[in-house]
Amino acid sequence: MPPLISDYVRKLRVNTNEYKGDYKNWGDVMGISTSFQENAIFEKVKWAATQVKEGKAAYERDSVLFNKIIYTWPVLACLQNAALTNQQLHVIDFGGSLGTSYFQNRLFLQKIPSLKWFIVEQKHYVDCGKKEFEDGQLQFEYSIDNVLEKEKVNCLLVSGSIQYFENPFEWFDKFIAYNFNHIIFDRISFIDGTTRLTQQVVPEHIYPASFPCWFFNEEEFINAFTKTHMLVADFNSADESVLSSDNKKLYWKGFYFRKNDGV
Amino acid sequence: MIRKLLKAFTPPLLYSLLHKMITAEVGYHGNYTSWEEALKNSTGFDNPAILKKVRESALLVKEGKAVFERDSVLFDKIQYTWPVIACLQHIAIASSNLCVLDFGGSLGTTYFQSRRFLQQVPLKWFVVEQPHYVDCGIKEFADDQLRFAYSIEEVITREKINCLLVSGTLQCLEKPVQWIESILHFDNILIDRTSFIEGEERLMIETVPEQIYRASFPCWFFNEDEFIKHFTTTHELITVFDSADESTVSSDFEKMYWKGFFFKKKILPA
Repeated sequence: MPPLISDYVRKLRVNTNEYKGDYKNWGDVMGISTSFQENAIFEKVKWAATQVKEGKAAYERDSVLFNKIIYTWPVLACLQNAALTNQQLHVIDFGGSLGTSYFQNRLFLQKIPSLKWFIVEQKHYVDCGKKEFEDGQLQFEYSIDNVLEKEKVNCLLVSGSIQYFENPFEWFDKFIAYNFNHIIFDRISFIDGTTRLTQQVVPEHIYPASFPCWFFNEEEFINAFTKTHMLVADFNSADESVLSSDNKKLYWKGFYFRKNDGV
Repeated sequence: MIRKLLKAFTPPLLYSLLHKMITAEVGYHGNYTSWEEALKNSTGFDNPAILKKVRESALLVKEGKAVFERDSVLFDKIQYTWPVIACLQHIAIASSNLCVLDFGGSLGTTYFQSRRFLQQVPLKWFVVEQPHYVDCGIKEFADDQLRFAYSIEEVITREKINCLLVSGTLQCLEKPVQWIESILHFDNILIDRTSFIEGEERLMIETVPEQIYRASFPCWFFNEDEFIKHFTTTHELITVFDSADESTVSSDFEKMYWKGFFFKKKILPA
């Protein structure tokens, strides 16, 4: 089948997310969206995460189950590098659902002398996580401050979450103020052009939902961190790039920043 | 532009054939019954012109004038091979050091590519290569971490290696199965950029594009299941990953692809 046609068929079949509009403010998108609070989403995510925890599936992402682990090799390599640098890996996984990245990577992280994985999430995820998913390594907290009150953390992981916050640039400043040695981003959405706020519509077969989603200008994003941190590596995320309705390239990337003083 | 249009509107199998007709000199061809026959029809591995080109590129990387080279091709940023780095770091974390034997490692391509991620690790990296590469490596590239040796035996008699790395080399050996049997004593075996074909194993000739360096040599395409079986009596397959090289199609429509594997020695019950 010619690639143009197979691309089209694949898009029909995969029915990827849509990213609509170029909104001036968060409230406008919220007004026409279902938001993340939807209970149905949470129940589906919880069911998928339980299958992985109980060994009935190897891996889940966005509540979709897989029968083998799909490693995100650059993220794993960057986590290991943080562990090798500090002889421990105490990571805050910001927006880490019910442990997707933890369960994905734990086989490769077991030999780290001290591994602690803190997920900071929305309240109902944390409530559920504390009750049903915590173990000696995986813990759930309501805020970054809650984690830092009890533990020294050397790595922040932000995978596919920060573009769903109302004020991401304020969060970037906070991340820097916390002084993490290592900051790893993955699955962050970018646009060729100026930073833009869109409405993301998720295909029904994953879960019926729509919510605001930022697309950052890559240079602006990197500049937010390079005063305090050096960019060690950048990498393409698994998500395929698409075009916006006005033909701007939308793409997903990851970055590994390490604090300038080299620790 | 014409090429892009042709590619977009033509079924991949047909495009692949058309592409082969247009660029018949480059790529993989043939189905040889013996190594001697394949070798007779190619320029071979020990062409001094290859080393000359590889050396020039590798020196630019070593001196920091270029960021990365592979097969003598220079890149403006490092093309990290993430699964390889992750597996190397996994061994380093488990053992608190990393002592790599990089079989067929050219003048240190993977070492220079990965070293930024291995700075925190007590590291020794031994490249075992053809004699003229080793001569050049010892003279111009060796340092405290990167060393060159003429044979595996030479290295293992003096160092405790905890990772055997074989990247893009196995398919260039005359007797790959025999060679695999000889290296099963290593605890960790990391294989990358190895060529496979859907269907039966076959021996072909790879022709390297002239802009890289003019050369052609015999190249095995393995059957993946058979290949894995050579290791799994003694080793556990920890993970499989796709290599960066794009898959293609043989002239008889079999899929040709490149993969990597990480094997760890089984702990046998006492």
